[in-house]
Amino acid sequence: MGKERNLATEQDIISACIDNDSRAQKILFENYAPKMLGVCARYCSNMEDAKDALHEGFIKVFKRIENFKGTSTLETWMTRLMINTAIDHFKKSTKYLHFEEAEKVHEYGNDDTSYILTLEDEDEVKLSDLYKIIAQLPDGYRMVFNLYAIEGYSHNDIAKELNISTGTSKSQLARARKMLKKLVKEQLNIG
Amino acid sequence: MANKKKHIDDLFKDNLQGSQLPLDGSEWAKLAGELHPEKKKRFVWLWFGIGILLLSASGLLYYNMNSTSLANQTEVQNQVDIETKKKEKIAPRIEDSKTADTRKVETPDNILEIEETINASSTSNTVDEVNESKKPSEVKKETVKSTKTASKSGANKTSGTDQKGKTGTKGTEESTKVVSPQFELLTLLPKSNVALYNRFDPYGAPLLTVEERLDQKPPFYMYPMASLIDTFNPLTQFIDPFIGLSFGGSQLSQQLNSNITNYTNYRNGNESASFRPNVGFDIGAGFKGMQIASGVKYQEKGQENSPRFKYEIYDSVLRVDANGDTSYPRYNYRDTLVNGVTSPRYRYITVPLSIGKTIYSGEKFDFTVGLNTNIQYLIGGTGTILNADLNQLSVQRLPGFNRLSLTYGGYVASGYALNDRIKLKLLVRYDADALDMMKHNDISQKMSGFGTDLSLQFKLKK
Repeated sequence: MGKERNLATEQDIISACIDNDSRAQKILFENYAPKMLGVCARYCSNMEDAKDALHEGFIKVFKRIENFKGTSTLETWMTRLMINTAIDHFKKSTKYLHFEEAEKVHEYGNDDTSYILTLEDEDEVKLSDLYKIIAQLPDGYRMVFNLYAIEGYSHNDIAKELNISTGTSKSQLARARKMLKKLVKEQLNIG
Repeated sequence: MANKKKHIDDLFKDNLQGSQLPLDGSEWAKLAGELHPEKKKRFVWLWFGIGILLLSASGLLYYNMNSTSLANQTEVQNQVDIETKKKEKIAPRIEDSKTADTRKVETPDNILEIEETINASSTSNTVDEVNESKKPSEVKKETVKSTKTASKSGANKTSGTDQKGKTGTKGTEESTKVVSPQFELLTLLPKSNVALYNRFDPYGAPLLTVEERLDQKPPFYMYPMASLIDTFNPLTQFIDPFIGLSFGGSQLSQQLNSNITNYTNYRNGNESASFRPNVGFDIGAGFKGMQIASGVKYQEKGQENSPRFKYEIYDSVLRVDANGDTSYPRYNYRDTLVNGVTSPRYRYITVPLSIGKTIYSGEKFDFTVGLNTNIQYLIGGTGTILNADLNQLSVQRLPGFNRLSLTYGGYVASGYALNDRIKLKLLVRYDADALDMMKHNDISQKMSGFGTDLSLQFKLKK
């Protein structure tokens, strides 16, 4: 039986993962999986899909970890992979394809002040409630909202990522915000 | 009471970014199984090995059954030759020498004698092989001389007394030197093949002729296993087994039905048909007057969609909208620039099963009418995505389909025998999905259509 590797630092763990060391992979998974599940859950409509995306994402992490150059933190690199995986997973798990004749693109403004909420001091926002609300968004709304509002992507980036127009990205975001505001008011009584 | 203003984006960003969710503990085990699949691979190899073993065992059994049958035929030939020889050579000599005719019917004792005769035949082959170096005329003369000598010595020796009933053995031995080449060849077979049949029930045999004895099967208590195999082995029920290679294709169309109004508005009913290829390995045989066949086939299915339609992703999950009403959201990518998926292809590994009745017309032609079913396993589906200019953007996987499905249908086939082993067959079939292709309950997607296959069949036995 060979001598066990020293896995004291993150760099040790990464090196061992590159060598397909099962123990190191487990440590990496246990360290980051809860946070990555949080990322995936934002992009999926239910926890089952989120866990599938997490699974696929970690497969990619371990297969591509030798490409990690250290220019960003490991967490940032993994989050990026998870987001891509969640988007891919969303595309794959779409239940079926629909065919529809092209419709006119509507432009929506981005500086609408009506999305400002007034929170009272005692308003406690539970994390699980926010996940529930965001899961109620249609997939397209949720994708664009996550990428724009949480990850900080521009509409141009989103358009490239999802293969849609910037106009579509803007309109999806506006619809998402509108729907979120209503859901937050109804379900969390914040308005 | 102080109020705080917050943009809705920030409410979610501040709370969700960097948040964690608990795992249930099974995730790592599942992941580890995929990352380190050695055990799984070994398991696959184990099954593969078992499969090969079973195939080999059944092949061996099949081969042995054929060999036994060949051995029996050989044995019949041997026995007939021996009998003829005895009548022609031994009996007259016995009569000449006025010895009692005790060898017209075989007894347990002279069974041994026959075996020795056969051994002697083998010996004679060796003699003849040595003689090959001589001129044919010399061999002929020597053979005739030897025969004459044999007759004389046989007669002389037969007139002698032999308590063990081996009188005349040498005469028989000598006489085998002039038998036909065919007989010589047959006697080269292992002794056990010839002697085996003589040994069953030796005391019940003497009153029967050789042919009658050979026609009789041994009683079940003497060869219980052989008897059982004979009775229950399904291989014995099959006749004219064949293997074959087939290739062809199907012209399929798709029947779509849905209780989702928006969906049915656009796609309900039949979608246009498209030709999809298939290639397969067939195996079959005659069974109780019917023709049955199976095998394994790679088959593509699919249809042509009009590229003028825009590609939309339609969400099937029931949602609560902003007004609190539940509905299926119509469009998630309402204004997407991705336009149109066309030529969906569903790739299946199929196990076809068919049963039909064959009518023969002359020696060359036959016609078969039958029923068929296919057990299908979906190995993947792809669709070509076009942009607004109808240029191909990408080929995407098509998810959301059942892995296992079943078809039913019928076929007519026409066969032409190229020779006594090889047959060319043209088959026209109709297949329809018996089970829904889709995973989703709200949509039913079934394909049906006509297909044609050209196959080359090789008979395993003449």
